[in-house]
Amino acid sequence: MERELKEREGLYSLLRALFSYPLTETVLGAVASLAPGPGSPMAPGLRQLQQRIREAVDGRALVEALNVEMTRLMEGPGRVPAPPFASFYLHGERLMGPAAVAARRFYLQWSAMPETEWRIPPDHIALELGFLAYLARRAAEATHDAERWRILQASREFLRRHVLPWLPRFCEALASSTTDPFFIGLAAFTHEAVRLDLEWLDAVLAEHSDSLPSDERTGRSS
Amino acid sequence: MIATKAISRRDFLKLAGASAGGLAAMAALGHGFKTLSASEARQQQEAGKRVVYTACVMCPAECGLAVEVENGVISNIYGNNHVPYNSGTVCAKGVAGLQLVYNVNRIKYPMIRVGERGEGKFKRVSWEEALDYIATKLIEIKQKYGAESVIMDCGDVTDRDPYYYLFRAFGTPHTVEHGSICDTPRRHGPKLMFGGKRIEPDIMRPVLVRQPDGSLKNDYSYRTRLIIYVGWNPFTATRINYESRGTVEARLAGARLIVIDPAFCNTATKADRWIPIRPGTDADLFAAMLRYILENHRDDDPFRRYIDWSFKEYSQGWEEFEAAFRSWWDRKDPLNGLPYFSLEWAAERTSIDAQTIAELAHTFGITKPAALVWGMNGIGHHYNGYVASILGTALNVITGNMEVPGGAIDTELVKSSKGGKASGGDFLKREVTRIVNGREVKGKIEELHMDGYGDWPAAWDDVVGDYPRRFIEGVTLRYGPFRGHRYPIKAFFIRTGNPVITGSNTQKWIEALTAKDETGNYKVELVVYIDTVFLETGLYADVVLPEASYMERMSLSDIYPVHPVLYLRDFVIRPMYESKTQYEICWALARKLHEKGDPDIQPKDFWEKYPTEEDFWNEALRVAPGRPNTGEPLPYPNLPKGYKLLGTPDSLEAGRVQIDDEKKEIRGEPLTVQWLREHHGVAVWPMSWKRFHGGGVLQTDSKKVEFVWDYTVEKDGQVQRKGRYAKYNKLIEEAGETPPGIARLGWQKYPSTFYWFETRWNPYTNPDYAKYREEYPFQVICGRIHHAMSGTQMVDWLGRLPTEDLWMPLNDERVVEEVIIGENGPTPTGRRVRIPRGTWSIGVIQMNRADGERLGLKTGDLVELETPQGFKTRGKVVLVETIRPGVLRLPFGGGGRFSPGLGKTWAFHDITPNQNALVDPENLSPIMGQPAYCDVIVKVRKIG
Repeated sequence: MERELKEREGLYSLLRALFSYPLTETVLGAVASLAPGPGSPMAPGLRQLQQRIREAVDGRALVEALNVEMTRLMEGPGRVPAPPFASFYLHGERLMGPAAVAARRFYLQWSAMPETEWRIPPDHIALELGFLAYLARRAAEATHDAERWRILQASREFLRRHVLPWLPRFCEALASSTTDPFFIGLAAFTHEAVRLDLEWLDAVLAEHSDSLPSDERTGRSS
Repeated sequence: MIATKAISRRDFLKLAGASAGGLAAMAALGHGFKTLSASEARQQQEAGKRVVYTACVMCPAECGLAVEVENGVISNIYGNNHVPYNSGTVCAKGVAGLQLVYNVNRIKYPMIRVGERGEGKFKRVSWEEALDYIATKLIEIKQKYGAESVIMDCGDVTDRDPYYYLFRAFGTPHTVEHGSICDTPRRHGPKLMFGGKRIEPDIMRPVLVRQPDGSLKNDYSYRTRLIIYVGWNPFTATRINYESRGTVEARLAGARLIVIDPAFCNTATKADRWIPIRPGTDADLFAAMLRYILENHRDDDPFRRYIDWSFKEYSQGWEEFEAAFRSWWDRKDPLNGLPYFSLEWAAERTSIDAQTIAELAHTFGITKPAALVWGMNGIGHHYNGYVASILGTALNVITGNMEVPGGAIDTELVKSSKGGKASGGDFLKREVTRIVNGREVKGKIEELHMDGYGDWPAAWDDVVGDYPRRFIEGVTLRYGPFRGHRYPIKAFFIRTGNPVITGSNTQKWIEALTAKDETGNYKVELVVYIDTVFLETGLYADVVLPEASYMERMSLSDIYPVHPVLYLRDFVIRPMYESKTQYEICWALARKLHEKGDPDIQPKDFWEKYPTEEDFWNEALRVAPGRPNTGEPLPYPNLPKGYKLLGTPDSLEAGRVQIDDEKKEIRGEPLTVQWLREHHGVAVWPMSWKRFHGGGVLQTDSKKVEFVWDYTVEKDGQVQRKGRYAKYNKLIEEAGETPPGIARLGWQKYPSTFYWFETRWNPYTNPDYAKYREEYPFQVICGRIHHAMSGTQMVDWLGRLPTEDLWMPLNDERVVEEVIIGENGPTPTGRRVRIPRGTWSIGVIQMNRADGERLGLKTGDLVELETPQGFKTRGKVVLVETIRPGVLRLPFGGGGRFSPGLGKTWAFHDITPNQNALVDPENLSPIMGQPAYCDVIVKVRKIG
């Protein structure tokens, strides 16, 4: 399990970096280094990402072009095609709705605060993915089993209640607003990664609860 | 659980990192979170509500607010009960504030342009890079062309002091506010005659009044008997907040209301009488009222005692003014053969029948106290607005209505001072040297002003009306020590303003910002846009800087109360994303400039003097209230009468003061940010009336109401020339040149007393335009909708609110192909957004039903308007009875909005009208140079 937990942290850290402006050669290098197993649902998206990176002749020019496109898609100014905030999709195209407040509350319940503090709305995609990486690390470093399960349950709850209600729509907006395969691939990759992680968490937590005394089976963190 | 192939934990991701350490090693990219201690986390949760007292900026009314914050998110906006200006009320714009603060289209990061101006392509950069870019260019521009080639335009949001301070220190005289390209003709009368600005009715309640027993009490009584609003619609404009509730309350207390407006506006719905005047003839009406009053006044008949001669106690020059006015009575108007200012003449011009005009004049004369009040979109927007303003001011004065309880008050003269040294006025006095025609010339920075020493010596308060023409042609100074000096305009900073839509003609602005020189570079080399919202002018910027929204910054309110009231704008939440407050932006830019060796930016003036934001605003507060202890009842009966008051209300009340008999000042404890925070955010000093007596609050040279504006006085055996126009006339005489604006009127210099001239583009009053009557049968005026100029049209609630037959949910159902600005300009993305029918208000054209039917139109038809100069705009018509025939009314800022930052309003920009597309860019009003926005005539053509 150790290995999977660390890989989860790596995956979410990578995803977080891919939605943090600006993209860097380091991050692109990390993407290029991944080897998708055949049949992995993440493979198609990842391959598009990697092909885009491979085709570029000049690394710096690629980074610049991707950042310009990222600005247009997600940063602004003015109306952007794919706003990266949960509230936009869940609360009538407005920001700082209940989803943002809920995300913030969740982070603080785990004594976590973004390094950018509260300047960015807490329901930004990079913050939500980064938080999953944070929880993944805590799960990997947990010294007691009970703690580890608690953290994994929290990760699942966060995915179910905070991320998945809006992520598919965001990914669709992203993919349909660009012709750049990097971002089309990123949308697919991210959607699949998150979906697969939830499947994994469901499976792992179900297995674990089968081995628990019955009164502990439905324990969820608040 | 449904049995499926169990996901093998070993290869759950089927993803391996090829590099050493694999996928797991990517954790090194970081998760972006830090761990807090349990108590830190608890603190962050901020259980419960916080209330912050602050000031709104959804429009320049700047009402006092009490804002609730829960868990770091703003939850509720209420009015601040302790601020008498709005007395706890907030309008629809104010309560919709969160939809601006938390808007997805908000500018979040500094940006630098990629591609051509207007394309809207930017890339995000760090503050470091943005400021470096700006500072480098500024220094280059200063070295090559002089600091005067830089304009810092602070738009229409008033908390601009840091920008004024910085740019004045930098060395330019062009620190400008939007008022300059706004409605200044309507303020000219009060400015000239009182040294003031705005005449408003005495209906702000409560007012804090000294009682006979010495206590201070809030007085809620209304004494007004008559209010006449001329081209002024406070119920929708809400700019003078108290005029909404005050007008209603005053009526309940017995006042009559008359609204004079070509359209039946919201305010008219509460009027006892609506008089649908022809546009552009307010001056004609006022002149007829004055003639009627002078001809019919009887001292011995109480039913005809219109004039209250006590006005002579605090005025001078009335006899000359009256004589000049009367000298027109025997002349015949070439347009209609009738004697000027007679009832028949006015009936011809205004198309109000003579009987009504007589009744109006009589009613105004006989009803006391009364207030004659005029507005922005009427008198302020006509070429001859000055004439109307002077006549209106005279009418209020001679009827004895100024400064009486329930009468009329010039709020500029009585509001609290603020700013002081924090505005940087001292920097303007610095001496500089220029080479002019081969000679070395010394003078003050302020004497380089492009209008005041250029074509417009009567320029309003050092601000600029004559652009964007100057961007293309450059500046040549005509007056003052630097006359003959030429310089280009090389940098344009625009903060919280949108001149492309609201300043002069839209196309002309675009031309000016995109004009290139022979080498293919933009003439204006640097354009910087600073704001929270992304409006059209931002599309033409080289650098976009995110300014903190009004909930995220500190400053002072700027309002129009009837006595001194001042309140704080405070941090409700900290600046979001990477936005910065004005102070932060200016101090950071100052540091950059200083680092790069600019000699004029010194640490001792900036971070050494005002190391924190609060220090800066405390400086701005040091001059408060700055008004004399004068009037009845005397605000502070135990303190010397007539002396200037400085300090907090409580220290003045308790007598904890120092009296300076030499300077005639009473110094209490200085007002500070901290004091305001401890007192519900607001400082309120007492009200009094009759403040014109004994000099009082008047700011003219003579400290009297002046009816003559260029005169001589003898003092200590010396003859001195005084009066506001004397200043300008001296410049003219020194240079031997008449400013082109007034030369066009046939004047050689500014007149010493009453004058008359016609407005332009009016076929009914100016013979030059009579020929257009048939082909261009519609006069176009502009009306307010419930938005702040052009800045709030993306706010959801305000987008759904219909207003006044001008902003109506007549949107057709659109499935909008999303268009983004791609690499090759506008590019459809293929993504579609559906806007259902009737769910968004769009700007429409208000037209009289009979006119529409005669043209074969029905409500919702799309028409094109065209001026004689060929300027066009289009919009849907709304046929109503609530506007006089022959007039079209367009919403201000409501149409033709082509910034993608405006969401759904942008989606309909092709079928909504833009008033500014029609404006004649050469029609600059002759005295101060502002564009005359409502001197417009059009023909109408159905197109859809």
